[in-house]
Amino acid sequence: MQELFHLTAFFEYFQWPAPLYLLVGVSLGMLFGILPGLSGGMCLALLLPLTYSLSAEHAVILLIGAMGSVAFSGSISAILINAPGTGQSAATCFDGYPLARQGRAGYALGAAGTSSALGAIFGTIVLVLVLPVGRYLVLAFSFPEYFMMAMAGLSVIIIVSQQAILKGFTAGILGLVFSSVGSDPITGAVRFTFGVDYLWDGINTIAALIGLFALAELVDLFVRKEAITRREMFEGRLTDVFAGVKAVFKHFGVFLQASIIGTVIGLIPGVGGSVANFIAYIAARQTSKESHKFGQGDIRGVIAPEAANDAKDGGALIPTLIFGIPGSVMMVIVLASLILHGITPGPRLMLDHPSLIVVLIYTLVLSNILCSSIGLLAARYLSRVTILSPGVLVPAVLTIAVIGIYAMRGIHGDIITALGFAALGYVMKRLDYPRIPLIIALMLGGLAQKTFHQTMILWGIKGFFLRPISLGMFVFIVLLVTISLIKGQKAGDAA
Amino acid sequence: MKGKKTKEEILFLIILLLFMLVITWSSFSYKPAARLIPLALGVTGLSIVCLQLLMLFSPVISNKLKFLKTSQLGSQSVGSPTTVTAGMAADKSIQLKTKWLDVLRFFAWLIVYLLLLYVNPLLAALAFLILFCIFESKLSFSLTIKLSLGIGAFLYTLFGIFLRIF
Repeated sequence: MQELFHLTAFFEYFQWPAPLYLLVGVSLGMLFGILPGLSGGMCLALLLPLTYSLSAEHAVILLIGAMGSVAFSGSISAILINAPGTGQSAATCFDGYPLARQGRAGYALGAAGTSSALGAIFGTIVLVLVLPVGRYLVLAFSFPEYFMMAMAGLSVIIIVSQQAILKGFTAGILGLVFSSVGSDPITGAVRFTFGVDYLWDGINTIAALIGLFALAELVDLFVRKEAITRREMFEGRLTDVFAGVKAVFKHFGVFLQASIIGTVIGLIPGVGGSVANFIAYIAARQTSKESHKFGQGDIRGVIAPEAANDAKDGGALIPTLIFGIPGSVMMVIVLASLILHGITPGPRLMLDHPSLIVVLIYTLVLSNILCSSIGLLAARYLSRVTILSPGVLVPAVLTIAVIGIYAMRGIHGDIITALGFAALGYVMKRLDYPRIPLIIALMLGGLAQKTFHQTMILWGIKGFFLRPISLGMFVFIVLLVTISLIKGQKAGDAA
Repeated sequence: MKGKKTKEEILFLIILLLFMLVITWSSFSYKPAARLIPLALGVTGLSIVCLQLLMLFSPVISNKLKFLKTSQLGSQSVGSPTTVTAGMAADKSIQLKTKWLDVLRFFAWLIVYLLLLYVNPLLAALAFLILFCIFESKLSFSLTIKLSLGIGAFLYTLFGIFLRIF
């Protein structure tokens, strides 16, 4: 492991054409992250055949380069047009889009870019430190802990809905019902498909996400016939982007807390970014004395999910490299590429292929720095999207979003799903129903249901409370929700 | 305007009520392990929707349970459009004036796009963009051409040449 800290190792493996592969990977990752509908998994799947003729190190540079840049790029569209490119960027919408509407998209993008890059560096440092003992950490998590992790994510619903509890709960229940659609992973029963074959696989989360946020937002723009930001409110100066960069250092505690959360959640296979960004968001909100500002354009609401999103990549590499257990679709493809090059992930990987680990770690850091730098440089220009006339913005985004949804699987049903969720999203927006609980429940409902049944089958109800980590998490969730409700009640009384 | 919004909310809640009824009813057709969670969700959903309807119809119940409604803090739940900023207060009145006909027209455009996709995805994208820009956005011919060429070239390069999806 000493090799990791030597810059000579860096120069040895990053000779030409390695920087080119990194640039190609980052550029493609950014493109797939920004465009709603296209996912990081698709990007890596596309790049996989290209790695056949490359050395293992170059293959890793190309794939990890793309992987590292997807998360932040997904947040660009989340901030600018309320359309998270991927599920892991959903929490960035909460405060990122309100900031964009206030004319401060550059500020939000500056903070998001810096927080992402620093979060990735934090996650990578933890990866380096934890790699030798990572197996013990990973093995400590089983179904009850996965369930509690999903419940922690779902507890966001209570926290974000405390000023409209019934409406928030209605949205959350709807999301959980939608997550039950399709084949049940444990019993095999096909539920709520009503004879529609398309629904056997369940509701496509990405199509639902785009419909509920991006398309619903486009309906609103189309109807209001006003740009996202009024020109007189728009601040497109470079200083605003730098103010966003500074904000990360000003709120360094929030960043650090979110990075730790992201790294720990990243360690757990199968949980990943969609949980990390929500939990980091609630942690930032709950530990703040001005929690009422969250959701209205508080920069800490951008910093926290972004830091967690990118810090989790370092953590996610631990189970992938040590056990060969991929935690996400992107990790599956990275793993497939390693196996294709004759490298078997496992405890001996660090001993047999130390150079590969060095390359992987440096690439993860470099790709995030490169992607965030591009994002920061372009932030000033990207933010101008928010002052475009709806007559131009609506058809342009609509064309790209719909074709992006269709490109996922080439199924018309995905577009119909997006259409349905767009209608629901617009009605919810119009009637002041929060849409966030619905999407949180939709994304985490499947994991919660599956791990609930797995725990019940293996240990029964006591399984949730006999394991120390699970019990600890249960207590944490109860405390979090109770404190949140008390705080909400006090705030209500004070008003 | 408030009355119009209440009517819309009642209609939405009635649709939700029917949806939750269908979910609860359907749950009984599954095996016990498969229906456990959906049934619990259906029953909870039904209760919450019924409570909301009761609160809308009965001011007495609404006052007794006012802690469950939007607080007087002035801020709505996170993610609600009205939380965005104080400067956006005007948005709400604009929103309420919304004509549902505009919303229907938007979805009609989406259905046109969906139907065009059956022909060829890239051609559909281009055709939709041109039609929307000319007939809906009423953009100038030159701007329509520039926008269509730009987006068309981008989509063709990405999906046609690079990804080879279409």
